[in-house]
Amino acid sequence: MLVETTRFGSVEISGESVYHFSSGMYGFSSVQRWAVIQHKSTSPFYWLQAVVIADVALLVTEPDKFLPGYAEEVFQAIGVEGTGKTVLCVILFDRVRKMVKANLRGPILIEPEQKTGRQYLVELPAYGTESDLLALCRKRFAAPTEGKSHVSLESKG
Amino acid sequence: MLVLSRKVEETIFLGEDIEIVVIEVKGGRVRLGVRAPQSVRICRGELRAETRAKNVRAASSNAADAEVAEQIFRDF
Repeated sequence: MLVETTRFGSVEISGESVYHFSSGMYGFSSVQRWAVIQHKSTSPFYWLQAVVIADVALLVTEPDKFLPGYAEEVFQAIGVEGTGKTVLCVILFDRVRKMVKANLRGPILIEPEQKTGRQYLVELPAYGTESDLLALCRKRFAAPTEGKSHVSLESKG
Repeated sequence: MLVLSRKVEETIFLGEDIEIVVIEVKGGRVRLGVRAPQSVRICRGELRAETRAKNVRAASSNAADAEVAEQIFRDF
């Protein structure tokens, strides 16, 4: 299907990429159809593009890639089984400070098999609505050794 | 809106299985305890408002932002 977007022009999107959000998204409660478009192949960032509103697209990512275990914390907080679900979060890019911030208290759960999605609100004390993703990521990968911490890039993924 | 006065340790029930307890009242602050089934999602009103505002703000991200975000994480 051809989706009109202000950012990328007319984009041909397969039905496979379109998700039904029965409750919309917070702030966009009437928008039920969202296309998940990878920013570029191999990119960890995706666009959640409103199918009928050309200028509404949110940059999102799968936080579990940066913060292993995050998705499980979300599943537990919401009280759902994680099988078949992917957790995304909305990116708030700070242009002035060039910081990638993420709303980690407003996770979006999508089900790629069912093609459904929903945004949740979760009170996770370790995360904020505008967390510095890189700082959290560095902290997560810093493995404590003999009381000291070091960044272990090798342990990623 | 239904308005009720409660003292510390007094409760309110919402339906059969949601219980709200006043734990402490101190300096303009009320601490509440909520007992509810797992399926009932509980969050502060501000979280809803913040997420709504931040989604709207995020909707103005552009492709250049995504490029810079990628660069920031490329080396990680």
